[in-house]
Amino acid sequence: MDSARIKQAFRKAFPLVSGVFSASVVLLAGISALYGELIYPEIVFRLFLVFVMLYFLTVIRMYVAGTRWACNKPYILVNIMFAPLYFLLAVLGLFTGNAYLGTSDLLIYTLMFIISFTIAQLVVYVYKKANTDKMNDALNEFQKEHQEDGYEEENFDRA
Amino acid sequence: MRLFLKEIKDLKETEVEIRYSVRDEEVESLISAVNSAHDKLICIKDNGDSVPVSFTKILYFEAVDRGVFAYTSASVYKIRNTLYELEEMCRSKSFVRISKSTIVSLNAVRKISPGEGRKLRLLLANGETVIVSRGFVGDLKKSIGMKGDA
Repeated sequence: MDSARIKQAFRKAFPLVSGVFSASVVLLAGISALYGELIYPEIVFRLFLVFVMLYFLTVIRMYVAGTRWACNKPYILVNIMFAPLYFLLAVLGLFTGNAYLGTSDLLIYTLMFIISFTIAQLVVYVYKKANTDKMNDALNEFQKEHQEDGYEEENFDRA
Repeated sequence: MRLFLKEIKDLKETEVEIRYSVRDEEVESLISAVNSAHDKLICIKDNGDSVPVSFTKILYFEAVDRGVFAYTSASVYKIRNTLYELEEMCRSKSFVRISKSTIVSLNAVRKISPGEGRKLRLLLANGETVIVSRGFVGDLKKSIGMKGDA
């Protein structure tokens, strides 16, 4: 475990998760104003707890995304791996004890989410990959033209 | 501008001292001329020794915690220059800035792949991956001869 990378993950995850938390509170307030229903403190507290858990999950995701293994794989792999966890955590955290949401419903919603999320990620990835393929071609041309100041491997030991 | 040349027989390495009152364009061009004359950068090893390292051996420069470091496939060196100075020095040497803290050698890039959001990932010759921030994607594209719009 790289402590510097863990610290960095904690630091980077905080503004992201707190931003989404603030946005969700505003959204909740908007919905409440629109339908004229009161927001119970219990709901806000539950939302807060869910976001605390989401924060730790985001830290883990950021740490995993920074590993050499993940860096050598398409970035969507980590997203696809973590998306079901985010979804389950959010749904279980917010709807546990909700009589309207049964276990079978939860399974169906989770499956639907995973499938649609994976497809969306793949479509975006394929589009982006086509762009970077063009960039790789341009890079190859560039490197052929600049061979004289090309990169040389260094063979001596680490200083 | 006045030029003084002095021969010192027992000097181990040629020294250049530039005296100026204001670091203007003339001084900057002198600095870059001196740097390009030997095409090597003075780097500091872990033990404090200064060594000249060829630009062609450097994969990337990174600013970390107020220090600037040069990464080769085998070593990491501390650099006295700022990232801004390095950017100016490397402009004609196939280096490009890819984030606020990183300048990479385009000749050391093996593969470009998509990253999170509008970022890109560069796989380097030593197997490391560096991230191109979305604000610098246009600069990278321009430097490899593509249209700069990200």
